[in-house]
Amino acid sequence: MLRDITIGQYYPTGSVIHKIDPRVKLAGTFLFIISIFIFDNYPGYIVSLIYLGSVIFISKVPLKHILKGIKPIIFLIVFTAVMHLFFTSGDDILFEFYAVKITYTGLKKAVFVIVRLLFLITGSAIMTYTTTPNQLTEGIEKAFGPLNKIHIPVHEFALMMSLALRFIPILMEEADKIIKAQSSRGADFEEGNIFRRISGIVSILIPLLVSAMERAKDLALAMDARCYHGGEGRTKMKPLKYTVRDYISYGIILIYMVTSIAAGHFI
Amino acid sequence: MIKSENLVYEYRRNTADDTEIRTRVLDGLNIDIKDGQFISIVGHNGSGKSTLARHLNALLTPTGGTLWVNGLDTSDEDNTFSIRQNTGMVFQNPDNQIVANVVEEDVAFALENTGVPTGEIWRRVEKSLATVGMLKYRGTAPNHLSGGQKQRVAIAGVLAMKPKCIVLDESTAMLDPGGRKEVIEAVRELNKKENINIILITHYMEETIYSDRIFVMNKGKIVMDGTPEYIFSDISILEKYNLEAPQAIYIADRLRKAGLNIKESVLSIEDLVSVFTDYKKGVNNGDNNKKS
Repeated sequence: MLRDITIGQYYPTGSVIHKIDPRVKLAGTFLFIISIFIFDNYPGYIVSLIYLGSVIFISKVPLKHILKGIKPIIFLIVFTAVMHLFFTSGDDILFEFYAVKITYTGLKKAVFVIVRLLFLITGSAIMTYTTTPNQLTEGIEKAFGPLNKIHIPVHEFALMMSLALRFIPILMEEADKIIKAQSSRGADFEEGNIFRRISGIVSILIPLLVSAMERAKDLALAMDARCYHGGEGRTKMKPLKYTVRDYISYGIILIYMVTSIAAGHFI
Repeated sequence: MIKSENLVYEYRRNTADDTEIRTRVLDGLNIDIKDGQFISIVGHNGSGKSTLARHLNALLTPTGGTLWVNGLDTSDEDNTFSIRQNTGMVFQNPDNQIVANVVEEDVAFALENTGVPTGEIWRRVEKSLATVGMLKYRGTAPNHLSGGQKQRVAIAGVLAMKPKCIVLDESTAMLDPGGRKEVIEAVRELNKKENINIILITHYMEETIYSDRIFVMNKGKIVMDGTPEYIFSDISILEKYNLEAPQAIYIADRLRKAGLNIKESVLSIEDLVSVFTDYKKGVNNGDNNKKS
C-alpha cells in the first residue's frame, strides 16, 4: 500500500533540473505556489502552465509518472471542486433544478480550484522528484541558516529530518516483520469492522514504537561516540555552493513571477 | 594506551520509597593495555564487558577509581572529545549507528562534527573506505548493504578520525557467520597494518583466538587475563564462568583426555587439522618402521 505512493519519491534522470542547487528549487517552488494563489483569471494560469510544462519537460520525468502521483489525490480535488460548484451563491444562475443551483461564479471557482490544486501538487512534486531528500534537507538547513541567530535550532531540525528519512525504510521493514509475527499468531488485519481493525493496528504500532525508541537510544549513543555536539563548529563534506546555473535559474524564476503576475492582473 | 586504577561503576536507581539501590557493574578493575595490541574481552551476559567498553571512550565515566586513555583522565570533561577521537567505537546493531543516507556521508559524519576542512574530509573518507574494502559502495544507500558491509562502513567511519584504538562492542553479535568473518578480518588487518589497538568485545570465543591477550570478565571483575593459549589451557575454568571454548579447543581437550598427545597451542580448526595430518603421518611412519 505504502509503495504505491509515487509522489515525493526521487526520480533520477540526471537532467539540468536535478543538478540545480536545492535552495533554488525550494525558493522556486515556494514562489510558484504563491503565484498561483494571487491571480484568478485564465492568462495568469496559462503562463504558469507554460512554465510548469517546460520544467517538467526539461526534468525528463515522464508525464505518466507524474500523473500516477496525482491519482491518489484526485478524489480530494473533485470533492473540493464539487463543493465550490454547488455552494457558491450568486446571481448569474447558469442552471437550476429544484434546490440545486449552479452559478457561473461557482463554475469558475470550481475550475480555478482544480487548476490551483493540480498546479500546487505537480509543482511541489516536481521538486521532490528532482531533489534527493538529503539535498532537500541540506537546502533547508542552509536556506534557513540565518534563523539560528534568533535561537531557532535549524541544524537540529535538518538533522532530525534526515535521520527520519534514513529510518523510514528500516521501520517499514520492521513493521512488515511485526505484521507477519502477529499474523502468524492469529491476528487478523483484513477482516472485521472498523474497531476491530483499529485495535489490530494498535498491536503493530506499539511494538514498532518500542523498537523505534530503542533505536533512537542506540543512535544517540553512536552519535555521541562520534563526537556529535550540535551544529556549532561543524564542517560539511558536501557544502552547497551556487554556480552560474543557479543564478540563471533565479533569473528565470524572477521573470516567471513578473510575467505571470502581469498576465494575471493586466490582461 | 589504556590504564585503569580500581575502576568502579555503579548504576544508581531510586525506589518508590526513596531508598537508593546501587548495582555495581564494574568492581575495581585494574587494566593496562599497551598500544597496538589486539585485546579480546569475553564474559557472560551481565559481566560488565559492555559497560567497560563504554568507559573507554567516555560515554560513561567511572563512579569510583580512575581510567586514563592515552594519559587523559576520562572523568575530566575537557578531555571527552579528544578521547572520543582517539578511541573509536563500533556498536552492536549495524542499522542503529549509521547516521547518513549515503555511505560516504556517514563515514564523513565524525569528521564534520570535529570541524575537519572539506578537502581533508574527502581524502580521509576515501582512504578509510578503501582500507575496509568498501570504496566501490561509496554512493550506495546503507539500506542496500549486508550486515557485515554495514559494520565495515561503521569501522570506516571510526577509522576516518585516525584513532589509536577501536573498540568493537559486540559488533559481530547480530551478523551471520560470513559477516562476522568479514568484520574480524577487517579489524585484524587494521591491527597488523596500521598498528591500531583493537578491543574486541564478543560472545563468540572463536573470534578471540587471534588476539594478543584475552580478558575474561565475570560479575564486574577480570577473572582471567592472558594469551589465548593460557586462557584455553583449562576448559573447566571457562565453564565455571558460563563460557564455552571454541570447538577446535574443545575437541582437542576431549582427545587429550582420551589419551592422545596433542600440543597446547591448538586454537583454530586449521591447527587441529594440521595436528591430525601430522599425527597420521607419524602413525604411517611408525608402521613403516615396524616393517623394516
